[in-house]
Amino acid sequence: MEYIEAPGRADLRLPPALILPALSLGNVGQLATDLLISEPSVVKAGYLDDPYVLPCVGNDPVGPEPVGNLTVALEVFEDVKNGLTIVQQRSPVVKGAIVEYAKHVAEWAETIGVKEVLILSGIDSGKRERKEMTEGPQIYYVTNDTETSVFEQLGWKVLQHSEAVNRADRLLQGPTEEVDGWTDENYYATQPFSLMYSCCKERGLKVTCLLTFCAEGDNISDAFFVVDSLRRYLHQKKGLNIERTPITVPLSWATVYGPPTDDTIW
Amino acid sequence: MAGIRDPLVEDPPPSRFDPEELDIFATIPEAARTAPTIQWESSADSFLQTGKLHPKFLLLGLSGISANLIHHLPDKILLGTILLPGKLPIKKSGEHSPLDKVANIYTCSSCQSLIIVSVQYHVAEEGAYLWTRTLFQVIKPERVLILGLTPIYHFRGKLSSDEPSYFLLETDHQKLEGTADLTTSKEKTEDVKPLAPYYPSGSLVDGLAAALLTYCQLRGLRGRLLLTWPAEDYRVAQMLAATLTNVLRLIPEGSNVKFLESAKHLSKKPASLNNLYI
Repeated sequence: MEYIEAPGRADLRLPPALILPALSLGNVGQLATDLLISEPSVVKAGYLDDPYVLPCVGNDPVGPEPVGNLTVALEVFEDVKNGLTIVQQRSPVVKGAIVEYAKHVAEWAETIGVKEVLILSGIDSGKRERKEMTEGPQIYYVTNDTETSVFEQLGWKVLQHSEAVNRADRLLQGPTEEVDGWTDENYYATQPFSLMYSCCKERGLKVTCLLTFCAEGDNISDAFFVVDSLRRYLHQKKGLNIERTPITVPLSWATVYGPPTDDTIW
Repeated sequence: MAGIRDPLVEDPPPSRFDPEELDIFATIPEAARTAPTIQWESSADSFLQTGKLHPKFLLLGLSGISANLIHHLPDKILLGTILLPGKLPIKKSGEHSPLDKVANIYTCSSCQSLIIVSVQYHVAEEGAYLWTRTLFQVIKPERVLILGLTPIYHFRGKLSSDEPSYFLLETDHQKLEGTADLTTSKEKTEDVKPLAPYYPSGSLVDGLAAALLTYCQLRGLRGRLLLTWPAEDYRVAQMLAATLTNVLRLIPEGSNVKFLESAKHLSKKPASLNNLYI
């Protein structure tokens, strides 16, 4: 994976706190990241060139006006005001290459001096414990941070299948007989957020996954929920005055779930 | 009935997450592991400098219409062929056809600062990265123009099969120069409207066209992707020929390239017959 700086960014160090979206059901991580990079204080810092991310291009998805600023599949942003590095991924990974991609991302993060990684992801709501299904939206977390009191103060819950997530460490080495069959344990271990979590841990980075159960559909509200939770964490943990800033909706969200209906048929 | 979608039987839109794509133990497709190869013709010897071409302008035709326009250029010289992994060289006697499943590299005897690549086969999206890398390892252009077809499955707007439409995406370096040259008119006045608006925000382009433009963006090249619709329309061919004629005026001998003459060879079909049967 090669990092290419945007013009005017040569020799500028990126903040050591990195936010990564993980591919997941509902694209929650990516939608949440779209909200984060729509903030006025966020600037494009560069691009990541990886052979295992499928290519895509488009016109500026953030706005407020689509003035032809090219967007590509994997971009790096800096939240200048809040000291965050944010990666946005707009297309899938080549089938069979998610482990390699996770390794590449973790290696790059270590190279640029990242100290803390926050991974945003959704989880299939069908995997949620039935007794918790009446509780409404909830952030679950998995972390290798030894200081977890802030998560408790925020009302977050430890993901019940954290052990399964940690099993992803062994999956990084290659196929294993342990992953046989479609069990909940195997589901969690093979999710992109688990693989990225394991790869970052392996690099000695402090990494936390922010997870929310969701169903495939209109996941905009899930994205808002994750961003709101992230902001409260950053305010609590780092003293950032971020939680009261209005969230900007990206321009491209006007058609995020498809083109408008064809009224000419009536 | 056109326009009505059935959510029960239709595949989900391609932008949503597909869990089957996350089989972490699946074998990475060969297209993503093995790069294509380039077979040079003897005619390329006089153009290659240390094994590379250094054109002022690189034109890539990815759409059927562009393949036809390139095919009918009267003075092009075949320099080489880009072979997909596992494919054997094709030795064909006689004239090439725009229907051949090949990707040929050409120049024009009347304008040797132009290199044209006509891509007449499908490049799998997982192979687009390596294909692009292979191309740019041997071709070092100053400017790039990619001609593609608007991907209707990723387009978040309305496309009419009766009216041609054109869209533009360009790199940051290209954007600095403006779009005054991207017009069908020979006039150089402020009243001349650029041909193509920018591709609508929220719509995406994927595959080889995206890989090529991404490379240009990341490497600081002046690159453009011009998307046209529909796939077969004489008016689109005319427009492309006129636009290319104007754009190529930027390079030495560019005005010698006979795209307008090439467009005359394409049959004129009434617009109402385009995509009559879906």
